[in-house]
Formats: sequence, structure tokens, C-alpha cells
Amino acid sequence: MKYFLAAQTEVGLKKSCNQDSIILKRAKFKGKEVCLGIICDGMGGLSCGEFASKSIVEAFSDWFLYSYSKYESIWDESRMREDIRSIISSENEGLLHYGKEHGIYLGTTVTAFLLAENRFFVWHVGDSRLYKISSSKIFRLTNDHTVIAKEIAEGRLTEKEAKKDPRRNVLLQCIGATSDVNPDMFCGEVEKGDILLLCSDGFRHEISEKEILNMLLKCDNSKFNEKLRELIDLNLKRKELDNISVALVKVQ
Amino acid sequence: MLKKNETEKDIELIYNVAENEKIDNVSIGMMRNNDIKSLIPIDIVMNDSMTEFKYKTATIKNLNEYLSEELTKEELLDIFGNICKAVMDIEEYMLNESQIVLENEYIFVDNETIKMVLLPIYDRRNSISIPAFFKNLLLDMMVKNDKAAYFAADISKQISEQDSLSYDKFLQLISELKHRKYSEKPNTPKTEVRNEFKERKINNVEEPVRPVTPAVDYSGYSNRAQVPVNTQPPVSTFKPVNSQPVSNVNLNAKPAKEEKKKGLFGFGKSEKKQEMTKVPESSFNNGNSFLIPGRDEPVNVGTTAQKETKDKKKFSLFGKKKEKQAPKVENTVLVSKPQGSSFAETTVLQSSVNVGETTLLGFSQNVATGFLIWKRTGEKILINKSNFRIGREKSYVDFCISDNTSVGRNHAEIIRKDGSFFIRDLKSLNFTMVNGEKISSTVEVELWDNDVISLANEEFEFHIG
Repeated sequence: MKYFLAAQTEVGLKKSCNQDSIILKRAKFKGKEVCLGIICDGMGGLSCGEFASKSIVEAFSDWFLYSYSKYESIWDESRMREDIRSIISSENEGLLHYGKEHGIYLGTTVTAFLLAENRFFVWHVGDSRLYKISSSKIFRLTNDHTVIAKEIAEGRLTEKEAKKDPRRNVLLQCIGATSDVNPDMFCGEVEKGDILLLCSDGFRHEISEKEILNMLLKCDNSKFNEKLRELIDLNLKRKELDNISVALVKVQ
Repeated sequence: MLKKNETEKDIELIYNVAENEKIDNVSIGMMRNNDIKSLIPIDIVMNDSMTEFKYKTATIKNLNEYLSEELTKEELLDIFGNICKAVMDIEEYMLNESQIVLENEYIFVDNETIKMVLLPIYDRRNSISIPAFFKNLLLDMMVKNDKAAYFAADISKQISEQDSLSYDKFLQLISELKHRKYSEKPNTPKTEVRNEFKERKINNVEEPVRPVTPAVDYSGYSNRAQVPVNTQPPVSTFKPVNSQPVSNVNLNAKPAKEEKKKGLFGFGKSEKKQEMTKVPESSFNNGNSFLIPGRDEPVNVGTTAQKETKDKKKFSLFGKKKEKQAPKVENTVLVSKPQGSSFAETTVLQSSVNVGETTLLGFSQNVATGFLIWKRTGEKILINKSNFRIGREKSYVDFCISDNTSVGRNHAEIIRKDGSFFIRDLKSLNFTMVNGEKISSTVEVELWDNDVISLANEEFEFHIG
């Protein structure tokens, strides 16, 4: 297994600061290829969102470097689950405390995966997304923790209505804002040729999943960054105002 | 047991030998023919009808009198040591330990030497064994002297450990304890004296109220410790999210089970509590009351205890940290946004628990100060907040350890509440320990003076004063 990485981020048309944080790390662990991918979309005025998203990304980067690297094997699901849960809880508490101390309100989403050989483990809170491109199809692997996603799932709102709904950016949970966080955690598998793609919500409001698929399918490994940039530009052209971030790993 | 006869020059203790008692002439011989420093010299007076043992004690103090003085920790420990040595000395003369009177009133302290009274009665048995006597002595010390608290646990442990006390080992312990460093401040008023009979307080960390309707989706968030909060099986990925918004508006979170977890920290098990009631009868009137070290009068269980907690409540009100009344809230908490704008800030539903909470100005009387000594550097760290955090991420914590990657970014918190200190692990990956015992992240464990705290592999000594 070999991994090819690419990532792009853009502050967007309106915001003065980019509150998204991305990490993509590739390493060789016990002779095998492993990869960590994280995207965090921060919220909170001024640069608080940036601090929140940076904190979470750093926390998991630390975990990868100092804890995961001490695992007995490259895949230990129960231990990963426990560690990641602890980190989310601890960071959540840390951000809450920070917010309280400074009289501010800040938080961040997190969507991340640990890819080891052909298996990946995902943890997710918020409305950033993980997609998988496989067999010429694109699959959304994560559920948005948003009010409208819930409304749609419960049949009270259609996708079309949701686009205009004033609550479309309201999250049900994120790290640092509520004393309680329940991450989604699950596993999956990849085959050679598959792509795992992480993106913040700014990346996928104005462009369709089909457009993403078409842009990346049959793309040369060396052109990924270029293609991702094209997708970002497409968003900007369509007046997306939020921060736009995307990261991918292709398995070969 | 003995009569006291006071003359101008002297004080004399007199023991009347009872009819059924047989005099041990061997003992008498030993005492007469040798100058046994650990014994008060004996005079035998025989009348027609009976025999008297007389002991001249002059002006030397007995143990009760001596204990009432302002003794240092070393002096207290020396009492144990010297009694031990006295008994060993007496035994070297082939005299029977069971003939030694084991009562504070009849044990005398002459400078550094302990002098005891021996009743040469054949087959005499003491009503109390030497270990039991030491236990009672320890209790007496604790009642009269704060400093006994320093070594009480150690001594008690050794005394209880074996059936028969090894004098050599005991003396070794005494010597060790004398040389052990404690951060001592004379005349520190302590509201409670630490001793092995008092249990460490362990509070459950309050968990937020969860919505009553079962949340079907989110993977179970079970923490790793004793109190499983919400264990649900993880859900298949592609099902739609189907849950109630997590609501934290209800600020009256029901405190989760306030019972103390007795098993977690070893001190003060129930058998030890029984020992407390064996305090010599002169010290209390009522079978239901017991002595609290630091207080002279016995306490009735139940009524007074309630009063105490009421008093404490009064102070806790004033102990709260002053918080900003109106924290800046950058994003609105509620949902509504102007319809026309396509650009909307991401917000979170019903978030942030303490927005706009009013609290009383902090005004704590008798604020106990705590500090840590970082073993690695010898640095002293003052715990100057009621919630003091330690970890690797400088923005999260009040004391930052930046160069040890085993320490968590948000590792542990020391909490000051009502004059006591507690420590809480903030879900670190490499744990927090108190005196070598790992603590769960769902509890706050009370900290006592001289406790050793470990955050991963970083050690600190905790002190109050």
C-alpha cells in the first residue's frame, strides 16, 4: 500500500481569518504505511475558532506521534477508540474551560481518520465531511451533526428546502461548546485506487458531489493539488463565503 | 491501681498486694540487685496483714503530664522509642513484660529516659498488650498534639501488621520517621487533623443531565472508569442521524450519586473505626461518642455532625470565584438569522452552560494555601486559583509542562473547595496518580499534605500551608 496526499485551504471571500485546520501525516509504522488525516472547522469570533481547530488538530497529531506510535500493532481498534474518546473529552473540557476563563465562546468540528494499510478508523463530530471515492462512485461516509440533517432524516425537510433554511448552519454538537460530546466512530476498508476525502462545510455547499467525483476520478497523482484548487475556485465563483478546506489521500 | 501518697519532699506510689496475689521473689531479687535504669526503684514493706510495694517518683512527670506539653514531632516519636527501649532493657534482666504497668499515669518521663513501674506479682497479666497500649498512646498523642498526625498512619500500620510487635523493627521505623522531612509550620491552625481514621473525600464529578429520550445514534460514550455514564453500541455508519439535540440548558444538574467510594483509597477501613471506641473510658462518657483529634470533647455522632456541615455550607457560598457577569458572546446562541443572507455563521444549538451566570464575589475566610513542589526541578508552584490546571498546552493550563510528551495537553486539575484540596484527572492518556494509585477521571480525590501526585511520569509533592 502506498498513500498519495494532497490538501488545499482557502480563507474565502468574506472572512478575515481561516479557522479551518488540516493535518495530513504519513508514516511507516512496523514496516507498514499508516496515514493520519484530520480536518477541523473552528467557530467563535476573532481568532478563537482558529485556536479551537488548531488545538484539536494538534491534540490528535500528538496522539499519532507519541501514543499511537507506542501501540503493539498498527491496528488496535479498542485502544484507538478509548484514546480518541479520552482526547475528545479532554480537549472539549479544555476548550470549555478556556472559553469560560476568557468570557468567549469557541468550538470546532473534527472529522478524522487513521488509515493503516487498507483499514481506516474514523472519528467525527460536527458538519465537516468524509467521502470515499471508490469504483467510480462517491460515497458520503459521515452524517452531519446539524439540525437540518436531523430534520431531513426525520422527513420534516427536503434537501432542497434545507439549502435555504435559516438553520442550515446550526450544529447539534461540536468540540468546546457543550459539556457533552458524542463522537461518531466507525471503521471501513479501502482498496487500491480508492480515495478518502475530508472537507469542511465551505467546500461542499456550492458544488455537488458529482462535480467532486468528476474532477478527481482519473486524476493523475501529481495533479491532485491542482484539481482540489480548481474545486475551491469553483466554490468561490459560486460565492461561497466561508473558509474552504479539503484534504485527500489516495491508496495505491 | 496504686495509691498516691504526697509528702513535702516526695510523691510515693503504693501498691497493696492482694491476698490472692503471690509475690514474685525472683523479680524482686533482680530489681534489688541491679540498677535498672528503666524502672522506678521498688521498696517492699511488709506488715502483719499485708505487703506494700512503694515507688518514689519525686517530681518526675508521668506520661499524661508530659503529653500535655508542647512537644515536637521528634519528642513524640521518642516517647515510643524510649518506651520500647525501656521494655527491651527490662526484659534483658529476665523480668517479665507482663509485670510492667502499662498505663500513662504510671509511666514516667525523666529527661530522655522512660521509667516504668513493675509489680513483681507472680503470673500477673496486663489487661492490655504492648501493641494495644501503643495504639492508645497514639490516640492520646493525636488528641493532645497536632504533630502526631504526621506519623500516626505509619506507626499504626506497623503496630497492626503483626501479632507480636518486633521491637527492633519498631525502633527502626521510629528512627526513619524522625528523619523524614515534613514541611512543618508551628502553630498552624488546622480545622481537621489528618489521621488514618479519617477517610479521604472522594467526590463524583457531576455529569451533565442528558436528555431523557434515548439518543439512538451517537456511539456510546463510555468512559474507562468505574462509573459508566452512557454505554451504547456504536451505530452503523450510513443510517441517518436521529437524535435529540444535546441540551445543556438545565443548569440544575442532578448530582450523580454522592456516596463516597470507600474502596478507592485504602485509609480508614471499618475495622480501624472500631478501634476508636476503645479509647480509655475516662475520655468519654457515652458509648456512642468518639473523640475527634483536635477536639477535646467527645462528639456525639449525628447531631453535631449536622451542625458542622451547616457551618461549612455558609462558607462555601463565599468561596466561589468571581466570574465576569456578561461574557462576550461572539456568536449568538439561538438560531434565527435574516432570511435574505446566504451567508450564515455556524452556530451550535443550546450551547455554553454558564453564559451570564451571576456569582457572588469571592470572599473566603481562612483560605488554605496549597502548593506543589515539582520533583524534577525542585520548583515551588503556588496553587493560586480554585481550579488550577496542569498540562502541556499553555492556553489550557495554569502551569505548563512543555517538554514532556507523556503529559497530556489538559492533564489534571487541582480544585480548592471549602479549605480542602481535590485533584481530578482530565481524561489524560497517561493517567494521574496520588501516592502511586491511579485515580479515575470521574472522581475528585481529596489531597492531603505531603501527598505525591504524578501526572504521567512527572511527580509533584503537594503541601498545604
